[in-house]
Amino acid sequence: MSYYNYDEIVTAVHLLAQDHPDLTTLIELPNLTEQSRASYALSIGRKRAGETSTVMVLGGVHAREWVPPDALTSLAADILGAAQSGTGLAYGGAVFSATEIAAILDGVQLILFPCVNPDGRVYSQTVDNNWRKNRSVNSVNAVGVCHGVDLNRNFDILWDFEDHFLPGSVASSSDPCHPTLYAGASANSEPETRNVIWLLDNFPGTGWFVDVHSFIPGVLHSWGLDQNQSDEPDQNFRNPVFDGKRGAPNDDYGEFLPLADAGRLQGLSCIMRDAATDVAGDIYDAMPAFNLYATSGASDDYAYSRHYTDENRAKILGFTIECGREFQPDEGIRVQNIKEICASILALLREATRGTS
Amino acid sequence: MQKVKVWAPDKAAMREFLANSGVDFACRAMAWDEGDGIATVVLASSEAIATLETRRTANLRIEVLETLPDSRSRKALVSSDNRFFRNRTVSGFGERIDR
Repeated sequence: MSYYNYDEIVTAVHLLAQDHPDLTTLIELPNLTEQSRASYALSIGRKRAGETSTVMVLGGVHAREWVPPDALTSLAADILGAAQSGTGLAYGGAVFSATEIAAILDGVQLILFPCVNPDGRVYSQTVDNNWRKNRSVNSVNAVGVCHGVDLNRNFDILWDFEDHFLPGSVASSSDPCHPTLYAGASANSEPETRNVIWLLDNFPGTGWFVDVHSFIPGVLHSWGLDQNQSDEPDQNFRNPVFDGKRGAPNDDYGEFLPLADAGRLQGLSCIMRDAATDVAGDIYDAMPAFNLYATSGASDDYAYSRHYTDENRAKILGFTIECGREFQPDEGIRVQNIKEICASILALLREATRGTS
Repeated sequence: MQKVKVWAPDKAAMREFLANSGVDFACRAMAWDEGDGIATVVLASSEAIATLETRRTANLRIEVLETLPDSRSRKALVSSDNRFFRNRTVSGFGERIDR
């Protein structure tokens, strides 16, 4: 076995959609990449758009993290295969019964977007395995041209970090030639970012959002903007009074997170963590995304922020799974990491099903 | 590029230690409690490691864990054709169980 190349991922989602027309819908995203590649997502389950029970999962946002796209493709095949045979699924010590798989398919709509950044994956797998960003062309005077935007800094959540955060407190860059962290020319400037937003806009029943990355084993939840606090509602990302004061730990500013949401986010993170750990005993952690530095423009925070910026939008609980300890592990660890991701997402789906039943 | 483990007494000291060193924080910059302080893992070029070496003290330490695989060795792990054109069955890694 080997890592899927992008053509294989595209073929796989098409085949799964063809083979399971009663349970799937193939979604072609509206924006082509810089290098004119099309992107695809797969809807799985008997629920359809508009019903308030959608779980959305992304992979491949960062090009060099090769495991997540393979994991989401494998997860789709596992769920649909189990549905067809009427069986359950086991990943090491993480077990999901046939009844639970059937309930997931009846109770929630799963949207899998296995490879958000196809240009980056192709470049990482064929030229520079440490490439993280997409392959946008950034015009730079005098220097020439630099390539790539960090898609997980490009979403419209405090994107303009130099205005919103304390200097040096956020892991992002306005330098178009930064090798890993360039946030783009504007919020949502990248076609790949807009594809994710299109999915969120077109599946308004999304209640859970997971972006799968690597590599420090853990499940993170909102906020990544600053330390969470539940006592001061005025301290929030929309309040300009706190511009320039965000991003430092243990100071007077903390990002407001209602107590009930904090409990749900941490509780679900722990459930996902435990499922991943059950696969092979590798210990996953569960914690808020704010840690050593703040993060601006990240997908998980953007997803959760949407109901604050537009009260007509449903609340989306945002998570990031960080899998494994390497970007491109050898086959044995690749398979283990795939199983950890699958188990973690199925555990979330099981909880989402319970929440909607 | 090397994978490097870094120790510091606390987050503020870690941030100061790593500031403008040119290290790559992998996906997200995460640190965890370890011993009397905290630890993190970063990716660093030999130049970045040299910068950190000049800043190290008794409480600020680094250890090179491994050299990251190069592009040539990793390319060998990527499928060179389209396996689903040959075998039109997509399968995952879960074990199907009868319960």
